Amino acid sequence: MDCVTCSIPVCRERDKRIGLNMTPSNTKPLLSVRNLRVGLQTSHGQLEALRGVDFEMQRGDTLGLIGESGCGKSLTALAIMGLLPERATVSGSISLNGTELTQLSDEALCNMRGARMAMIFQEPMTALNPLHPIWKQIAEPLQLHQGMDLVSAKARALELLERVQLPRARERLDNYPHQLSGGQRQRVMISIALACQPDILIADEPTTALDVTVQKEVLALIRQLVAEDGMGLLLISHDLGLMRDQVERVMVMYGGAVVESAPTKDLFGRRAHPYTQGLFAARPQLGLKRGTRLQTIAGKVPEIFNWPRGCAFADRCAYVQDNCRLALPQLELVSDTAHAIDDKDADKPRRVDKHWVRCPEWQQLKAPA
Amino acid sequence: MKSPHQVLLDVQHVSQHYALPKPSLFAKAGHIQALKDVSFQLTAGKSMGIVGESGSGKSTLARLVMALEKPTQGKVVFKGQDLNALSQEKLRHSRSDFQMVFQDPYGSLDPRQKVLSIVTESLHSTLSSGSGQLLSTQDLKDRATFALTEVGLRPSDLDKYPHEFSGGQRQRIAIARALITRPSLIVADEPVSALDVSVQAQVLNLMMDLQDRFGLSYLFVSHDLAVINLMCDDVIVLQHGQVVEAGSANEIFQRPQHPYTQALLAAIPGLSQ
Amino acid sequence: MSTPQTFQRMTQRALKHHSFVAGAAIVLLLVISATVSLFWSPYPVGDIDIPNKLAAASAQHWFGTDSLGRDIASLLLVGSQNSLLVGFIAVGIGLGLGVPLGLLASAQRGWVEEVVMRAADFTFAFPALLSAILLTAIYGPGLVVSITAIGIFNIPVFARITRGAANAVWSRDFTLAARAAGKTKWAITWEHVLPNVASVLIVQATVQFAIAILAEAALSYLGLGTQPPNPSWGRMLNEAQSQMFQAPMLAVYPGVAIALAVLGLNLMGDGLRDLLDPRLSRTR
Repeated sequence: MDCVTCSIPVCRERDKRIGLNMTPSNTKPLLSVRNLRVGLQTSHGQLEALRGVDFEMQRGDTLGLIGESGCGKSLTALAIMGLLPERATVSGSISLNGTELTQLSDEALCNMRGARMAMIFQEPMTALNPLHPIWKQIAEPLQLHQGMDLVSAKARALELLERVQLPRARERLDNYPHQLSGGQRQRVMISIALACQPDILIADEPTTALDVTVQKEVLALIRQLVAEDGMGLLLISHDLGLMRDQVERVMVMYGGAVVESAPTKDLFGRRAHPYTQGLFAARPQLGLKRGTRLQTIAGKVPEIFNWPRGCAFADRCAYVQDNCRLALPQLELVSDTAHAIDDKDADKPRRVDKHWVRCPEWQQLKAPA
Repeated sequence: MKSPHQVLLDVQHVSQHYALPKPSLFAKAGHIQALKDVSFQLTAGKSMGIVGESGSGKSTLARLVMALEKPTQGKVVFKGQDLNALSQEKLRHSRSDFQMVFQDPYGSLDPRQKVLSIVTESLHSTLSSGSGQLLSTQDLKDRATFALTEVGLRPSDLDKYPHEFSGGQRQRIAIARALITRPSLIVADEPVSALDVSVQAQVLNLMMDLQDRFGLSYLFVSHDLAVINLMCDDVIVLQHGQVVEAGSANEIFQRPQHPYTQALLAAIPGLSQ
Repeated sequence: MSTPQTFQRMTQRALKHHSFVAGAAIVLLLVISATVSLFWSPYPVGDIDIPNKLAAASAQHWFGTDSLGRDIASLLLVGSQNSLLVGFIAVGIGLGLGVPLGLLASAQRGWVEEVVMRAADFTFAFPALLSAILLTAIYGPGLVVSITAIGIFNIPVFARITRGAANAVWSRDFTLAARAAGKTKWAITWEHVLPNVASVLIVQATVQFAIAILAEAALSYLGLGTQPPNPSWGRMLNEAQSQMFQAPMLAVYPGVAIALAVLGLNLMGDGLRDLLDPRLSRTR
């Protein structure tokens, strides 16, 4: 049986064995994304920007999405929130607590946004309305989704601001965004996101625009609140160090697809995809001697209208084979033994602890020196 | 020929005030102190890192070193000359010896100009004043081609516009622009902060190669301690416009003395090992 | 992508933009009418033919005749020359004097900027029409005086817009890079600032052109603009007033001509705004 869109041979049985489609039947996943494909209309024609993203999250899971520009990580977040541009075509399944988001009407999606799923963005100055005082912006989802009146909403806004540890919250209620610092604005954005206690929080580069000392505080705050409320956290970033500290599981994206997915500890212990390996090696680290040349990945990220038919990394890969270019490689399980697929593991819970990679040559990869 | 221990840049007790807009017609205008009594020396062939967060004054310091602003107090001495005491003509002429690379690869190149004009910008003004005669169009083109190949781009790129390039390539163009006059000093203000990790690595490697090849000195401004550690021999740490710690990169990062430096190091994500 | 290719791509995009095409077509019609009328019109505009006055539209007179028997089609054609002339010269004055003032204000900042902007505010404070009437009271009515009045009012418009756009350009790093390269403020203004504000000015110019046409029509209506025997759409409106009940179409023709010209220019301006600005500063 071939995939309808791109003719990649698809085998449900194989996927089942690897553990893609299986969750322990007694736990319904909080968020389940299956074969998410997004097509965008550009001046170069219809392009496939996301090529089949799969993942699952349970309550309390923290999942990181890492990649560079153009890999599709922000697009994935927008697709989940239903915030893609109008002419984007979405196929596949996005299921939040059993509700299929791709089938919902605009109105129903609006009811979900802010209430059941929330998002915080990179640049708080542009994400907040400069003309409204902050309490009003926090009260907005409360009024919209919980039908609160203005007075109770304002009171709740104060509680939320105190919860995000905004200093002198009571005095600051009537402040406008420009009167706050970057870190404070980000706390306001977090309190807006958490106002209705959503099931899932998507944070798209939430601290990239902040100073490193403030970044640490804000991330700790997010982690604390997520743990307290039992939410799922999808953290998007380009910073590997951040992933190490903040999330339990990391997915690496390149060219519109997830190329590697593993528990954080496993990923930092061993990389299976040539791109991930390149990414890790390219970071300047504090221990390096002055003047050490960083390891670079040859070539550059292909433009979206130039994505190869198969693996998007093919032209830059040292291990590329002919069949890599023909079709997007299948996901494979990474473990120390060659034949990793073991049916007797089929009933074990927490299958998501596995380390997957979308590369047929992963076993050839030399471990880093 | 530079002697190995020549002091290239000597910043002496530099302070910078800015007047704030007046709150009302008769009230006195307030002041912001962007820099307070900052001093350091940069030796030829070496690199100095300026570390700081937002509001530390690091970008102001970069602009003062480039003589784009006059300090309220203090001197900026480059190769023995007080830059702010020079006449306009002499200053313009000396600019060929110190150049700058900016943070934003999308804002630092004029979108309406071709790469050839962008890269040869300093050649026009610095050579046409003072002693130099104007370079011919062919000379300009040759120098530009050479500069582009030095940074890993192609001669055919001269004819293109900035929007045809990626962020990393634009930053290379910016480096070519800085390099074309063969300066002794390049001030780099967060040159890789806006780039992806893999692209950042390429540009940093390029900058290190250029330094080896041409004996450049860098004044490297960044908030990223790992990058500073890689690129710089000496470091000063700025907080609220003041130098809180200064020393060699090794000393500062392995044995930080000042609580602020320690806090910066502790805040680096992913170090909890 | 070299310049001819970019131009080709721009033209292709322009042709797909509905507003722009519609507007440009109308403006082209206007320009053709005016050019043609320089050499030929169905009847000479001075020809008075009283026996044939207030005739309805026919094969000989496509839009009929007015109260003095003049052919309306010819009046409209020749009248378009006026409108175009006023538009070009008035906008030309605005661009020629307003843009340099705006650039000066932006480059110098400080008290120079204050003076220029306050002078602009001062000029804005005078209603355009009133200043026109003032000028005609002093210098006598006519085309030249009305063009001057409208032109003077365009100067602060362009000065303000240029200064705002130029300020935005000065805040970008490439002007800092140019200063670091040793360029003087004036060289930077000419080489960097002006090309980057050009698109804003082009769009504003089409808007001001439309406004100039309307202003001229208003002045001519009041009898202060083009004097007879030179035809003018505004004056045709005035003349049509007395014939409102006998021949209402007399007012419709010039009215539609004015409205169409203004519409065409506005559509073209809208289209240009879309085509020129966001795409060229394309981000990744």
